Amino acid sequence: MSSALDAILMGREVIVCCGSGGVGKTTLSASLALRAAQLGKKAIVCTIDPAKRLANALGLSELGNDEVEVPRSLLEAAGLELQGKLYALMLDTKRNFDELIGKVAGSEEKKQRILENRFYQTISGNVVGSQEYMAMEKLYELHQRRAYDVIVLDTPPTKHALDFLMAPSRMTNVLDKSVLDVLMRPFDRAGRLSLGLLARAAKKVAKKIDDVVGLQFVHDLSEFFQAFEGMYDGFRDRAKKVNELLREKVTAFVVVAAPLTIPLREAEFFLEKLRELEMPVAALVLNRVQESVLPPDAQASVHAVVRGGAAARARALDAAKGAVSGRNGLLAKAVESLLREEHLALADRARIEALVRQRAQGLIVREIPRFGGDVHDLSGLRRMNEHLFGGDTP
Amino acid sequence: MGVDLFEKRLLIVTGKGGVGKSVVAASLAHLASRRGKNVLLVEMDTEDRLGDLFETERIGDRIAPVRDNVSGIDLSPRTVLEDFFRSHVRIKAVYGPILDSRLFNYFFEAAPALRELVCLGKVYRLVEDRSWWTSRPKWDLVVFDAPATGHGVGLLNVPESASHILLGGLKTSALKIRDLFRDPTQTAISIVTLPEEMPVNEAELLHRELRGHGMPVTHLFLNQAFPERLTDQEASELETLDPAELGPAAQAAFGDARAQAGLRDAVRFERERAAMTAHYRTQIQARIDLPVIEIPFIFTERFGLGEMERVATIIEDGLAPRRRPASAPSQEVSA
Repeated sequence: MSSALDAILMGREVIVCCGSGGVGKTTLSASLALRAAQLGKKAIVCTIDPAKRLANALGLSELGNDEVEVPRSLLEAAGLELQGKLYALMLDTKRNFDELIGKVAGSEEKKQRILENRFYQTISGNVVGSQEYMAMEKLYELHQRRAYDVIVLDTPPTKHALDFLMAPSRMTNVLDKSVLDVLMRPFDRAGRLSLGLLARAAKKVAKKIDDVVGLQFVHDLSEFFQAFEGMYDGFRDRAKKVNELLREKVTAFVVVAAPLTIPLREAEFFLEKLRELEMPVAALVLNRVQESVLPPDAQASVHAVVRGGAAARARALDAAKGAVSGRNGLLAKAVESLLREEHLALADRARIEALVRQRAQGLIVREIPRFGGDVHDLSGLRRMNEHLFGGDTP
Repeated sequence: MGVDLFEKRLLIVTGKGGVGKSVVAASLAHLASRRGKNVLLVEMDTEDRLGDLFETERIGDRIAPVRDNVSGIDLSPRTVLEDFFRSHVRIKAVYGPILDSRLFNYFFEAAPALRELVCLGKVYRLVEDRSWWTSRPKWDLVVFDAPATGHGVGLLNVPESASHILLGGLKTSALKIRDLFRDPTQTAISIVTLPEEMPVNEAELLHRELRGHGMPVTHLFLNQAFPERLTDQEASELETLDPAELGPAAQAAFGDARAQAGLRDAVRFERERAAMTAHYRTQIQARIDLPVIEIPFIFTERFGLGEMERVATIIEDGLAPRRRPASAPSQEVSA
């Protein structure tokens, strides 16, 4: 019997994991790729910024951007036998951007002019959105090459979900031809202002921008656009194709959240936005969920005390202290531990249910319990997969 | 550690998203206000954590009183930039079309870190703002909840990196902001982190980079720390305890002896969390050379004013001259 998530891994070519930072997105991405490889696929996980130990577990060195096969020795040591193959790739935004320029530039001279431009150097590494954009771009490139059956993309941690989804169109906007035309008009070839060409208000704009950002910037920018001339169409076409790929049926989005207020709010927003943009969301994964430590028939009585507030909890503790002689101090401590753990479990449950009720209709929903520590190795990934795929061995 | 945070003009609280920066920033503002300071709490483009924490109405992009001597503002880059143009261009017929123009919006998107720079400029002006009447600073203290960017140090180093590509008036402004951030007599920077792998790694990186850029980082806040409640001996005693002894305790506490089934697991899980906290506490001590203030995990349904005040008290204790090591949580927070 294979689970619904297995069906996604078997049927789709691109899996995009998204969610706010710190919820275990990278680990989940690696888990999904591992499972796909177990199912016989040639799978690759593209990560942005993995924890060092996870990177080591996947056999990734610190320098990235090369596709490496996760060594058999590491997999075997973790008791994993793959029908397929597992690859990993750590994205390097700057290098990806440079490579892309190389692809669309047409000539070596043109490429160099751009790579050496100061404006380019700033946007390629730092500008908000370039990391997101490049992740998408790499995804497209890998998909085009058809070298893998399944590509799992771990997305960069964005402050707002939208930043990531809008990256391709934002980048095209920035490089929009008509903006370019407006921009080029006031500047002559030497990059100086020629105000006579502009209407009065526009003159003010140009001058103001000059005051604000300084001439050096304007100069760099105008030089950049001159070098960029003719490359625009190639650039826009790629961005458009990346956007299309994200909407195709070969793609599946997996939204990841931890059951905390902010990540859940972010997940809610993500789910809403993905639907609005008609992007195919397949699953919602809740990571690090605190589960009740009690058997189902014993939960009601304890949860009643937890819900009863500080007074009820104090009463329960006092009762435990008075209950038995000899060890009542110890037992009262254990009772308090139970109250705390169940408090966390109930809080997680309530938050998850609210989200699932509101936003997860028609989605595969999976929960991964909070393990004792962070997950940083292959056997940890395997343990995670038991919860994602219902313990079926492929 | 003779750093008195409340004698500074600007406290910057930074760290990765979701680590509890807003809570620490709000607590510091609250403590300063209790010392009679007139405080402005500045958030940047958040979804109103401030309103939740102080249990007040939504705080928007205009300065509004929050509580006691604390006022708040949630900076929106767009509003700040519009204000900037409004005050420099003045005539609506001129700045209106500017703000609506694609060209302007293009720059807003594309100019490297312009959005960030403009917001930091606003923070700078808020610190420098003086009453026209007494010419005293308008705010005794500005507490800035600095959003984490993907690149850690990113935001706080924007003035420095922008100054390299700017010329003229804006370069001068960028350098002024940079100098304020680097001035240890006026500014103190705190990093907030959690006892988990990624947040600790990022805190270390952030600390190294901020120090490298000459910024006065003074404290590290370790949030959501789990204290050891049971000693090893108590834990092993509990493991070997006869269920016949656990049952009556569960019966007494919950009126249900079956609840005894969860007692040992609860303690086990809790100890795992405490062990993780202890592990990362050791890591932090070995890797990050800063005084650490621990904030225990707060068990609550809703994090509001009461909880924020509790955190403030814990922070106050941690900041006080050493009576006890800062790493030992001074206050047991009960379920």
